[in-house]
Amino acid sequence: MFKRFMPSLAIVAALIMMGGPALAQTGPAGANPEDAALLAGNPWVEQIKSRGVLRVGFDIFRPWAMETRSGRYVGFEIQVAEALAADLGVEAEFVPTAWDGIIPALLTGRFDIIIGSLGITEERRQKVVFTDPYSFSGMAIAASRRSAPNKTSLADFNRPEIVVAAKSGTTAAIAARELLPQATLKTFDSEDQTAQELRSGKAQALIASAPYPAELALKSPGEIYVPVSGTLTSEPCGMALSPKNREALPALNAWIAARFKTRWLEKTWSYWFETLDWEGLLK
Amino acid sequence: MKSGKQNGGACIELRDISKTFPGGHQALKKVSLTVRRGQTVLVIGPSGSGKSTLLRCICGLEEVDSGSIRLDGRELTGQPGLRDRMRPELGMVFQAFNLFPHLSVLENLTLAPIRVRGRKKAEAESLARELLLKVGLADKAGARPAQRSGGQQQRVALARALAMNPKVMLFDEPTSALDPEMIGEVLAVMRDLADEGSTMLVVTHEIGFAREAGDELIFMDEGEIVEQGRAPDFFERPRTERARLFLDKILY
Amino acid sequence: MLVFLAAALGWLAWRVLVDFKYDWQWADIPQYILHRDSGGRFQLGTLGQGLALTLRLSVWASALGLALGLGLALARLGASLYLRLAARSLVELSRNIPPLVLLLVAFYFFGAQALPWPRLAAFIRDCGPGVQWLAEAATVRLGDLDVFFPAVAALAIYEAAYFSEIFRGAIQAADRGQWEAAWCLGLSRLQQYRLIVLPQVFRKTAPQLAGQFISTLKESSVVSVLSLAELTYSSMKLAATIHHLFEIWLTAAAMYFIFNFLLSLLFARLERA
Repeated sequence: MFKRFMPSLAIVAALIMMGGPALAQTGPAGANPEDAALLAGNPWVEQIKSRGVLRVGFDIFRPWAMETRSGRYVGFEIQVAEALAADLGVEAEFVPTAWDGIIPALLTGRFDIIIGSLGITEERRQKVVFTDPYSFSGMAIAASRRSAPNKTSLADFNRPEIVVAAKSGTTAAIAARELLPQATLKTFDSEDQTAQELRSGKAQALIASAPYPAELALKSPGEIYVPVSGTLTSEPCGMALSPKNREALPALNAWIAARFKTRWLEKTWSYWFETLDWEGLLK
Repeated sequence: MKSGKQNGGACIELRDISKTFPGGHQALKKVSLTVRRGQTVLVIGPSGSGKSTLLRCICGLEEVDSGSIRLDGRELTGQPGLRDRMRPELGMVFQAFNLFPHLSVLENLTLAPIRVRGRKKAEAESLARELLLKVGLADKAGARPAQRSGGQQQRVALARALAMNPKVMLFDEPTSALDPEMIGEVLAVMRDLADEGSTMLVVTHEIGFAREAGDELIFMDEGEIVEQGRAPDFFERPRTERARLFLDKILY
Repeated sequence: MLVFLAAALGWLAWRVLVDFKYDWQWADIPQYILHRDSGGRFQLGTLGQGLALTLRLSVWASALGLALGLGLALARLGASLYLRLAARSLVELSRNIPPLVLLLVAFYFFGAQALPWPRLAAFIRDCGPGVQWLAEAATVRLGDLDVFFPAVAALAIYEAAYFSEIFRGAIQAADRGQWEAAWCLGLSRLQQYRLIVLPQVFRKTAPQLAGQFISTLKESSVVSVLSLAELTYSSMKLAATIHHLFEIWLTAAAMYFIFNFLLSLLFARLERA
């Protein structure tokens, strides 16, 4: 039922041409009294309220969460976190944390919650508790026109001589291994390095969370193209809490459900993933 | 004026002090010596004769192995606490000056009076300026020691020792590191001090100075006092073979 | 040397331009160092703020490292066998453990689990906005104290080993005559150190200490693994935001280089003065 959230170039193009529907407002989200009521009255929430600050862990991923030139944070995750904080009646404090260390940092109490497109996986469930999904990320593929031209299916890439680049430690790397088991997987510390491998021709394809591959193809149409449009996978992402705060899950799940019901999450998602209107916010 | 000098009581009394260095070299062999208040005693002898070690044992830079050192009648050996309190009473002037290069001339003179004697800064500075005037360097108070000539540095070092108002001044070859033209200015100050009645024990190679400045002359060789008496007697009528050999060498 | 360096960088840039088909976009970069806000005032961008944090981190680490290094040097030259051994062990430990590992160990020793940093942050917040502003200007956002302090501690311990060797060498090389003159004037052992020997040691070792400070500035980049937004982590965040990888890392390298180089020129000038 959430497939409609999946980004696709057609939707991006259509939205940009139409100027888009009423897009989600950015900046401090106003509190929604009904949603706020859903959050009242559990110990985790009360603790945050008494402190007056919701500390949110995330890593920088364009356009989930980005840093402006003056050091503020903007992006889909940031907007979700700000809305949640507003309904809690507290300030959001953003604690950017390198991806590899984000779960340990949550467990050691550096922040209260991860709102950072953490894909819900069995492995991560061993360490943290997840809310219901509030967004879905999908993997997409981009390929080099120079070293892997004119391919149109995933099977074309599933060969040992094909080098596929992905960011290490992410679900993109896992997806690459599952979707293209025959191909040679090379992992890198950042998405930009995977793009560089593609440009230099050392890798024939890259797999990354949408919309990154599509964005690359739009920016360098002469070098990079999207061989298989749409997303290849759909991964639910949840907010993550330390297991000791498990009792806060029902309240957060209710809040997420309410935000789905009003289509707020959907609109916010499409603002960040299907338009580039936010680029001015990076100033 | 040297009136009354011979009548002073004992300031430093050494009885049978011996010192052997870790390498086995015996630098002092049962040396006994008395310096009376107001007296200037000069020590000469070939290098390696133990003169410097004698001074260093008196001021405490070296520990003696045996024997007794008394200052104003108080035994210093075996009394670490007293020995420590008496350090500033023995004003030492080194061959290499050992001025503190990071301090001005004036600060070199006031440091110890303020920190050790507990003098007020203004009081210490006025005394320091008086002493600089005395050694002829009144206009150099603000200078850094390294900017001064060797002769001036040694005069500052002398004033620094005097600033503590010690009971006795010890001079360890104070002119040996100086260019010849600067020796005179330092000796002149020392002579003034002697004439004023300071108590001084001077190890020196300056034969001219030894001849006429001291009240008493000591000739040391191989860790022993070989001759002791008045300077003219020693230079004109040395009693020992060793003294004659030494004089032959230095007087050609 | 500089010419060679420039040539090497130029060759590398040429390779990137021609072989990698890199799409250079420099125009966006400067605003991340410095820009004017809507009111027209100059504001540090994320990279500028990162450099400022690198500097604060290094100043704290060097100050603590200097004090600890001096203590270690004195302990190693002192009379107590126990202290000598303890100091020697600490120096050897910190010299033989990579700074990154030292940092992670410090993080678990001095981090939020071990010490009550959130409570300290709350206390500072309660002292009023003035105190909070001062504390944050001198260190880091209060919420990051639990990372900042372990980072400072690890760097300080790492640098202290080097500082202590510098001090120890200089104290040992101090002229014996200085000790003797101070001794004869009646100064206590402590006074001999404090008033006579150490001032000269500081003066003599100033160039090495300055060099070690610059080295601290560089070493501080390991702190990026704790996600503390000094220059290196700021660059990582910017790279993830705007994706201009080469421009960002060249800029970061240039910022480190220019800053450290100017600093070394400044130190050289101060030393001559």
